[in-house]
This record gives sequence, structure tokens and C-alpha cells, in this order.
Amino acid sequence: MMTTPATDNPTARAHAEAFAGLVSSLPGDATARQDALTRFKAAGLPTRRVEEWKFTGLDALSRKVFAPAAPAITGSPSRAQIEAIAGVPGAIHAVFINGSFDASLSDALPAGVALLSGASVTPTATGEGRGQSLIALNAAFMRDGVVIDVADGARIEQPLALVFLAGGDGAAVHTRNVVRLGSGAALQVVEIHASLNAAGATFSNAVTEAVIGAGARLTHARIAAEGKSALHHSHAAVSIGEGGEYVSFALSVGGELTRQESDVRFAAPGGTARLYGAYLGRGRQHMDHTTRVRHDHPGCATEELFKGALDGEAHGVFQGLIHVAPHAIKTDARQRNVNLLLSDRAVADAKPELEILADDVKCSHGATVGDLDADEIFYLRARGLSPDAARRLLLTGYVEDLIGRLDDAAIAAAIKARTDAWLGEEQP
Amino acid sequence: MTNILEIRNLHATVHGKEILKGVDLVLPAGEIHAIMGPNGSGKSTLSYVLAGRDGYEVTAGEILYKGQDLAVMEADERARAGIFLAFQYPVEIPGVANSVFLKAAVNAGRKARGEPELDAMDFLKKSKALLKTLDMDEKFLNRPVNVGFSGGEKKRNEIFHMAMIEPSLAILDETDSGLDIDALKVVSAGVNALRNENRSMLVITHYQRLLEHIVPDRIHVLAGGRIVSSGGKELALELEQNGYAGLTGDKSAA
Repeated sequence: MMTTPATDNPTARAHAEAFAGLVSSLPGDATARQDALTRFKAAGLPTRRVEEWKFTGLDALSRKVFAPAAPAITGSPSRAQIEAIAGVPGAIHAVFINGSFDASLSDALPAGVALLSGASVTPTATGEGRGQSLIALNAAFMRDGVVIDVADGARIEQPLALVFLAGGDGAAVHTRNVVRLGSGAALQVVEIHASLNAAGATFSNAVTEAVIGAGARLTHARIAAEGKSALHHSHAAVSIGEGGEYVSFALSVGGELTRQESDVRFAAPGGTARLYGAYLGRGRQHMDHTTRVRHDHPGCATEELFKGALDGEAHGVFQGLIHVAPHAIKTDARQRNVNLLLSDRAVADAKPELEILADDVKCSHGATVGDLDADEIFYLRARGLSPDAARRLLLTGYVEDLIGRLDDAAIAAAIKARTDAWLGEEQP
Repeated sequence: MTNILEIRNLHATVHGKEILKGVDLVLPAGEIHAIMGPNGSGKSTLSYVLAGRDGYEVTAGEILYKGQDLAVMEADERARAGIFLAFQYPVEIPGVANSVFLKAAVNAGRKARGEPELDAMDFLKKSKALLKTLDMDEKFLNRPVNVGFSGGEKKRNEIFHMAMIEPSLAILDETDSGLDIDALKVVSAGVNALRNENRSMLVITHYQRLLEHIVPDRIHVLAGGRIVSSGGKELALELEQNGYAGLTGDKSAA
């Protein structure tokens, strides 16, 4: 087995031991949770020997014990702080503290938005596969999240900001969201993962399942902006109906180790997936973006662009698999990964993979690793910008070029606020 | 009359290869001088050496700008001191709005000179007025720098930058290349509008055509890394008829 037996890992063991005492306080079907825990135990935590994890190790889960977090902790932020953390203008806010909904900090939830804790969602094995045992762990321990049902033809104008705050040293937080869009429906959701107190090491394990109906459009942003010692794993399992569209933006700016996964399947012909991502790292941060897109139906389009900017000793990883089934003709799939290394010690690993089993498709991929362009720097300096100002402006443009691809202004603003803050912190 | 630029016995290498082999040139305040010459004569090298590009190394001689030795100044210091290079190949900067870059550039210079920075309103007002004279749409302010611009639009944008930055010394590196006749007229009118007694220009070109529209005070012929001939504006016509071949003598006495 290319995995660590669950009982050998202190974090896995702490979860297994806590389960019996905890399960009665968790929503939904206890048996399904027990099954999920069994699947997790059988699979164990992924190690670097699993191909999908070759660039990202979960050693941090062995070095320190992370146990399911107590739902309530002291030192809650104010409502004004919540809005600042979310940064999504005009949003409806749903706030979760260590995985539990906090009504006092949240807005009234509109019709169609329920809480997982009240909706009796039965955990399924959605998205679980090789190297995906963290999803099973989430299924066993998920405490709360939102369950959104958007009716056929309903277009929700206000963006929904899901604010997940974690705190307390050694706290493991498992959240799950379920998003279902009826035919022709539209919704914008932003997940913001941040720390309550930056000092403690926390482990967030967040899963979002989305089913996009025919002709429906979901914009889904994930912002991983936790404190310096946080571990973050998130997984989006998305199914796109006929002519439906999924627009995703995954931003990593925080944490010691972050891995954001996207698993997208076209469930019918004619769908579109636009997956964007940015990872801005410095210090010893490790940021991994892993995407898998399955084209099982004809006439679907995928556009992927992930950009990294890595300073200090940061390590960026991009893995992107696009699978085109034999009958998925007229597939149009483009994938690009660009990495800027801002220091000699920063590292970027890129693993683009195309598995094309169909004829009559348009597919391309590319990955680059480099420094800021010398011609561009000279051009800016020759107009009077200092080397530092030139570098900053180019970095801003590098990120802006990506954010500009989002049509949703509120979501773009939330992402830009985070990237601007990162650029502002930059040491010259 | 004071000299804006004095180049004495300038030798320069590019990646270790000597391209400029003893250039002498004096540019008085308020004058426009043209530098003509065949391909590979060192015209663009001279412009990059003046602008202070990395990799262009002065190995002998000196360049004085307003009496100050340029050797000790970085590219951006030179720009803030009033030296402007209009690029032969303007660079595309994705994600950076033209106005954001230009405002930063304008204010970097103003700050260095101890002048108040332009605020957003003044900047916009001045920009719009100048864009109009260059026959450019206002949308060029918000588009990313040079991205998706046609060749002619890029060159116009360079002149627009120059007009906003108001340099003391402007170096126009083959600004005419890639321009059709209408664009050439617009660009030339833009350049001529910037002529004044305090501003000097070095117009680098391969063809005489540009100099019908931007009439220089003097013309220098650069060949083999040296100024091989200097003269008045009539020299351009002579070159047009006889070409660069056989030019060695100094006609500056004419």
C-alpha cells in the first residue's frame, strides 16, 4: 500500500479516537459517518508515494496532533471585521466559527440556502478516489456548511460569502457545502478561509459539492488566507449539466501548507469550465493547486489558467489533468500554468497532463517558470519607475491579468483586495 | 547656448561586443538632431546606452547630460532627470492599465524635480487633451499598456507618454518604423508640438521620410560605430540620393 495506515498517524488516530464521543453531536446519518471513517481508515493518509501527492507531503499532520475542533471558541470577531475579512461588496454573509454556523455574525439566509446542520445531508463518497481519503475524513467529521438549492431559472444577484474562521492550536475543522443549481439558474459563491488568531496551527479540510443544471452558471471562488502555521485542504467536486458553466477562482495567499483541488466532470454535452487560480507565496509556504477535468461528453470547453508568484523559499505546485473520453468529440480544452520565481530559493513544480482518447478535439497545455521579464522592467524604468516600483507594478499586472477574466465584479474585488494586501506586504 | 547632451569618444559594448567605437556628438538646448545610418551601424545601441539599459556597457569616453556624468546614473534616475526614450519596439505589459503606468511615470519625474504630483483629475484632463491631438481614443487610457495595440497605436502611445512626461531630452528610436503616411503625419505633428527652447531631441531613423515632417537642426550619420558625417537638413536628401555607401568624410563645415 502506498499510504500510511491511519493508526500510524497521530492526527488520524486522534480523529478515530474522538469519533465515538462526537458522532451524536454531528448532524445527519451516524452510520454513513461510520462508513466514511472506515473508508478513511482503510485508505490512510496519502503520502508522497501516491502520484497525486508527489509534490505535497502531509508530514505536518504527523508532526502535530490535530483533533476535531470544539465548535465554540472565545474571541469572536465583530460583524465589521467579518465584512472586512470577506471583502465581498454587497454580499450575504454566512459565518462559520470552527465549522459551526454563527447566526449572530451572519446575515439572514435567503430562501433556498439552508444549513448542513439542519438539512440532514447524508455524506456520500462523492469525489473520493485515489489519494482522496481526506474527503472521507471530511464525510465522517463534517460539522456544518451550507446547502444551497437554486430553483430553475432563478438568478441570485447578491453574491454569497461563506466565511470560515478557524482558531485554537491543534484544531481540525471539517466543513462541507452542497450547491445545486436548477436549469438556467445562476449563483456566485465565495468561500473565505481565514484564521481567528494567527498564532495557532489549525487544519481546515473543506469540501464543496456542486451540481450545475442545464444552462445554469455557478461562479465559485475559494480564498485560502489563513495564518502562517495553518494547514488547508479544500476540494471542489463539480458536475456540469448540458450547456452549464462553472467559473472557478482558487486563490492561495495564506497558510503554511495549502492544497486546493478541483474535480470537474461534464455530465452532459455543451458545458463550459473556466478554472482560474493564483498562488502567492513567500517564506516557507507550500501551495498546491490540483485540478482534474473529465470530458465524458462531446462539445464541452475547458479553459484553465493558474499563476504563481513565489518569493523566499516558497514552493508552488500545479497539477492539472484533462481527460477526454473517446466519444467526447469537439472538446476544446486549454490549460496554462505560469510561475514567477521572485527569489533563487523559491520552487515551482508543474505537472500538466492531457489524456486524449478522442479524435477531433482542440487541446493545449503549457507551463512556464521564470523571473519577471527584463524587457518589461527596463521599459518601466526608462519611464522613471524605480526598480522596486517597476517590479511591484509588473506583479500587480501579472495578477490583475488573471482577475480581469472574472465577470463578477464583487468576487473580483474580494480577490483583488487579498492580492493587493499580499503585494503590499512584499519586502523589497 | 548650453548643451543638453555632450558625447565624447563614446565606446560601448553589448554583451562584450564593441558596437560604438568613438562617438562624438553635441546637442544644444532646444535643437533637434537626427541620427541616420544603415542597419547595424549602432543607432539603437546609442539610444539604449543613453537610456542606461543593462548589458550596454560604456568602455571608454563619457556622456554628459546637462553637464552631469550619466555613467553614475541608473536608467530610472536618468528618466526622472528628464531623459525619455521612445522605444522602437514598445513593450506590452498585460494587466497594467496604460493610465496607471503613465501616472506613476509622470509623478515619479515630478516628485524627483520637487514639483507637486498630478492628482487623478488633472492627470485625466491633461491625458484626454493630449490624446485628442494624437488622434487617439480615450479607451487607450484603460487598456493594458500596448496590449493589442497596432504598430501605429504603439508608436502614438510612445509620443503620448512623451507629451505627458515632458522630458528635457527625448530620444526617438525609429519612431517612424511601421507607420503609414497618415500615422506618420499625426506622430510628427505630436513631436513638433513638443518642440521648444528647453527641450532637445535625438531622432534616430533609417529613412529620410520622417525628417520631412520633423525637420532637424542637424543630421549625423552613424556608420560602423562612429559619426562619419554631420551636416544640415540637406544631408538627408543627399543620403536619399546616394545612399550610405562611401560616407567617410566630415561635411559639418558646410
